[in-house]
Amino acid sequence: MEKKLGVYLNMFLSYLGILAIPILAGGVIYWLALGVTKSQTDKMNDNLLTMVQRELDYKVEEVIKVTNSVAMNSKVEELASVKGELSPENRLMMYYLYQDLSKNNLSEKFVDDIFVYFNRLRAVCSIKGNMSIEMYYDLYCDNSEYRIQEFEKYLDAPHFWDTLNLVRCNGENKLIFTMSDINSVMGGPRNFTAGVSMNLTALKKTMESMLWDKRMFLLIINSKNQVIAQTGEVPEKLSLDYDSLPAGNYVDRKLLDEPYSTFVRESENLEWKYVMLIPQSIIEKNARDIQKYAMVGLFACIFMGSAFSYYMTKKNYNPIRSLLEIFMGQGGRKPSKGENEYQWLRQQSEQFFKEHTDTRLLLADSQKSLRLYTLLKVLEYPYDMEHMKETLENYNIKVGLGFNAVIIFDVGQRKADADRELAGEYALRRFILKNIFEELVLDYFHIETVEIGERLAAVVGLPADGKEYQEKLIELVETLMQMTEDKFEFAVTALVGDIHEGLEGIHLSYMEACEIGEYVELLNTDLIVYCDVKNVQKKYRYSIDTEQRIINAIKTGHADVAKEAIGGAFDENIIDGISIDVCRCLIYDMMGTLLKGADEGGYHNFSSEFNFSKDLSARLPVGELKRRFGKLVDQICDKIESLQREEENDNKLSKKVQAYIQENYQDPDLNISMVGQSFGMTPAYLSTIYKKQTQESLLDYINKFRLAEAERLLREDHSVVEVAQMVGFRDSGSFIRVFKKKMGFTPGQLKKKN
Amino acid sequence: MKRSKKLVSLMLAAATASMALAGCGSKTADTTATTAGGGAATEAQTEAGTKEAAAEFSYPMASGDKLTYWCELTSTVAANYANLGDTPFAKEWAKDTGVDVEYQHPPVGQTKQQFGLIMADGNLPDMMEYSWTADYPGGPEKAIKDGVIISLNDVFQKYCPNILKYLEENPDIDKMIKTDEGHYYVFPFIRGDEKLCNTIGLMLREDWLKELNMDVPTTIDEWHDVLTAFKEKKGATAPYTFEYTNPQYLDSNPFLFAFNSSRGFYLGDDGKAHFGAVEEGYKQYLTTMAQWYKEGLIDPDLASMGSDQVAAKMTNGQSGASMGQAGSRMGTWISAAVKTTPEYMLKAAPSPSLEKGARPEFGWIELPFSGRASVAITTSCKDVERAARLLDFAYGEAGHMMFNFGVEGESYTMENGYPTYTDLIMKNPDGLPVSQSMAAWFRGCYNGPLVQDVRYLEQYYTMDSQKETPEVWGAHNGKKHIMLPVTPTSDESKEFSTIMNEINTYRDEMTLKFIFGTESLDNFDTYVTNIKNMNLEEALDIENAALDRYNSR
Repeated sequence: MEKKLGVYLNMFLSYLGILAIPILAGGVIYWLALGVTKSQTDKMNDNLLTMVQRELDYKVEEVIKVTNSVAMNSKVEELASVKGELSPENRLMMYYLYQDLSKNNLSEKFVDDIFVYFNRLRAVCSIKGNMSIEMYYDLYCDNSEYRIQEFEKYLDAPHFWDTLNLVRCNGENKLIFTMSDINSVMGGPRNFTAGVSMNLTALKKTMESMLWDKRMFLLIINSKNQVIAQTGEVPEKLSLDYDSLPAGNYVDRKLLDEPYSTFVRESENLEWKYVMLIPQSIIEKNARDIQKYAMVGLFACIFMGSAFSYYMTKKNYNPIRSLLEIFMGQGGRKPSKGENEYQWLRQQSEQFFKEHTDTRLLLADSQKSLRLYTLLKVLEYPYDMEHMKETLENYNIKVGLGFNAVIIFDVGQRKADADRELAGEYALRRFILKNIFEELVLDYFHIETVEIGERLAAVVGLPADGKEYQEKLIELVETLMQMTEDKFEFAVTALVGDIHEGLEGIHLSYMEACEIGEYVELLNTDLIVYCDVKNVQKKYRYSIDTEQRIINAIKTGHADVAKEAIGGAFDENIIDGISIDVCRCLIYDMMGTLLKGADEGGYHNFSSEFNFSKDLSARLPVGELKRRFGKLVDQICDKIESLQREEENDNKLSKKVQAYIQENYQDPDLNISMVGQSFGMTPAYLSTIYKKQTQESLLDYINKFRLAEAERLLREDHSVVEVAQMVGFRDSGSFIRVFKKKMGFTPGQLKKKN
Repeated sequence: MKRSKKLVSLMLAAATASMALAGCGSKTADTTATTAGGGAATEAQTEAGTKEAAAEFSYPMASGDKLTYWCELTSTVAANYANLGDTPFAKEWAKDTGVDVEYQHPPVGQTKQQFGLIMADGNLPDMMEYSWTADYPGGPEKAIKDGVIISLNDVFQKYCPNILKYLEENPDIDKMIKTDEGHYYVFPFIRGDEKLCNTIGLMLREDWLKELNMDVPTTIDEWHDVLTAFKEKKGATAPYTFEYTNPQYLDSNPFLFAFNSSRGFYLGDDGKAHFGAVEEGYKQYLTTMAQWYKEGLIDPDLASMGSDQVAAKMTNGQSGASMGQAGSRMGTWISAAVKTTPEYMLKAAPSPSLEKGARPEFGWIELPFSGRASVAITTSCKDVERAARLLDFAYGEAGHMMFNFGVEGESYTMENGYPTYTDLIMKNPDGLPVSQSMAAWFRGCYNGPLVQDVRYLEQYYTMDSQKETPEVWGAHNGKKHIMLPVTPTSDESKEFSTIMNEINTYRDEMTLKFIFGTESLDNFDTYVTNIKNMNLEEALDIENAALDRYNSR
């Protein structure tokens, strides 16, 4: 649990570390956003106001143009000069003026009328028609602020680009631009006033559509500080002074209670100023909204992140923990405190898999060993298939069914020089042999190989018995032998067993191969095939009687008898025509017989003194072989004769020495030196010759004789001391010591027994 | 028709592979006639096919592309809605037909300019409601040839069983809505009853007449007396006034009709077209008017009179007689004036005659098909069937009710088989005038592609003096003389309009001068000569040729 807390803490801390980045980024984004929002809003508002200004200026310009053209119209001047009643001609002219005005074709919805007021006539000529001022007022200019008289008075007064803001009784708001005739402005008599009435309601609608927040507002004031038009909820206490309103955009804190972003533009045509006021708080609110969302977002991040990381931790840690538990449950090293669990787990897993691999290798090894063991067993003992079938299948041994032959290979071991250093070389040779042979054979037959001691046994599975398979097999073996000879420069001996059926057949074949191993030396060849040898044996006759007869003849020195017997043996085998193999066998057997005879005759050095391979070979003719064997027999018999003579001389000396000892045994001075002096020989030479003839040391014989005499005397009731003196011991002590050493008990003990 | 043509073409193509395509076309007709055993049989076959197809079809249609519909937004709708599509009428129409329509409106008073712009631009709405008959330069046949609108003959046959049925039943109207070449080109606005054609006429202060103990004047002389009495006894400064600036009123001027004349073309007893403004009757009319103007019986400011001023003068006692529609003028004035003058009442006066008791030979009557507010399908329309079925709906039974009365249960209920407007229309809870509440729910109260139902008018007129207007104003033989909606050929039309523009301008200018007295009527002959010099004869020839073609439709 403590461990787990640590993990969580680590995770939480790293999580907090990561979280610091969005928090910092959030802050930076907020400040940037505030700046961007402010500048963007300013730019937008500025553009907005510029748009309003351009639009209105354009319209005003149009109005001015129209009004000018009206003021310049000759019909206006003419009509203005009419006094009293209008004549039909005047009326017609007024109609034409009406048509002229209509032709101005101000389709703009902002301009709803163009008119001319004739002071003297108290008549109005307008796009709407020609009528009296009263009707014009009633129909188009009725309002509660200016009564008809005041309205007329206003129109009567001189104007130069004046504006009159009227709110009609039906709620329509119109702005009337007025321009009196030039003469009146210059101080002359006032005759007419031209006017254009602009639909402020429509204008306001346009202006309103431009506002993007309820709290902002837009107004137009003229140089008389009159508000021409305004939209939005303008606070009542707001009072603007035309002259003290600089153009541009800035933040004004004095106009109202709170700071306002103020945008002021001047009209290009009139002494008007377009003013837009936006509470700073709106702009900041936008930025604050961003801040708010950013903060909410951040906290959401924190909580979501925590929850998510907790969930992920649980989800990811639990599997690790369960793995940990598995490993810890298996014993072994527990993770030490503070150790990274993951690292520990990694180590454990690596170890686990290493062990696993090792075990598998070991298993494979023992599997292989068992397999070889099984093969060995099959070779060594006869098994029937039913017994072994499962085992063979287990070890994937393919031979056993059908027919099999066993071949035994031997790599130079016959020279019997089991040099330690060569052992490695031989193992390599066997390996090479095994691989080459398996490769050669596998193209035709199944094969299993197994090493038996220094030899390599190959079991070859054949589909059937038959000459052709045998030949093929031998051909393969020869190929192999040729290859090893040529490529690897070592000689191989191959013993090929016969083909036999079934599992037991393997054993049989193996035994045959083993059996013919002996012929390698005899036949002086590397490849021995059982069936060849078997064929030879059928005709090979060399009975034990013959052999014994030859041995006895040699032992007794009857060389002629021996020669006759040898000749008889050769002749017997030659009757059917001798084969080289049989000859080899006979030579071999004959040499064995000669060796045995020589040995029994006492001629032990014969084998070392005589070089068989030099003088005897199967390739020699039989007659020559008989002659050479006869010569050998002569040599052996001569040698045995001389040896027997020498032996007889030697035996006479030992008998004389023994007789001398039996006579003088009571003399305490009798020793080897005394015996030597009396025979005229050095004590050492005498002692050697004596031991050679009797296989016993002279000293031992002296002691033995004395003690035997002493025993006899002791039984005859002589005392120990007496006996000691009688058999030639100088004191009884040494007699007792020597007696006990030889007999195992003291002379006293012997006397008591009796 | 098309199918059989195709079939025959195929047969021919198989028979004579080397035949030229043009020859094929001309021979097709012959072969059709011979092989099918007469055109009538083919016709009948096709008709049967159409009826069969119609039986399979039913509204509403499966939803599809939105169609665009260009039309003027009439002032009674514009007062409350920025777009016709916002009205309950348009919503119901879309619901019943299954066709979504996007309405496009030209700015008020700029219909012709806007139309010109659209033509120049070439990007046409699917349907356009316009005075194709009179206002397309060169006439409707030209519009088809110009590739602006499509000929509807095939469309009617294929998709419009309702309008086909109506036209079958009303051959005179069928004649009106075709071009001389026999092409249908619009879904027309048709006034479904003669009463609906008698909507403009004279009216005067009934309360004054009573006070002065005078009868409703029926002759020019009686009118002179009444107006003089109004001037002298009632202090009227402009006893007779009317919207002189509105050409419709100039065309329907009853005082002129009294002299058996007209300011433009009329159908003479000889069945030919005549130009009234150069005839003796016109001179007599001018003489009378000049006299009246001089005597102060006519508004001195008459020439520039608009509806505002007329309304003001009619309600404030400056005038005692005027002319106009029973609804938008008479009714409006009465309702406005009774607030200040409770006894105020207007009465319709019949078209005057020269001799008492004589039924006037001339008089104002509108044609059932004026060509106004009729809808053509443009060549830009991709789904003609949808547009055609949308428009044909109004000429069927259900569509007729919807277009004239709105939605049953909401804007009207059936009482004894009579569709009666509900209070939603007649006493609108939001305080809308009847004209506006009607315009929101149906089009029958103004115009559009429909057959107007007289039962609308019967309910629209609420006052007794309004209700008698169709009878009073229709008491004349004007129907005989009203110029039929003829169409000059596109070649003639340019020349015709050039001539007539010049003549009309001169006529209007001179007429005012004659009335105002600034030009002596002694110069009338000079005036006539001038007009004739402006190639009036040629214009008359064109008009008469067109009339001949019309008659032979």
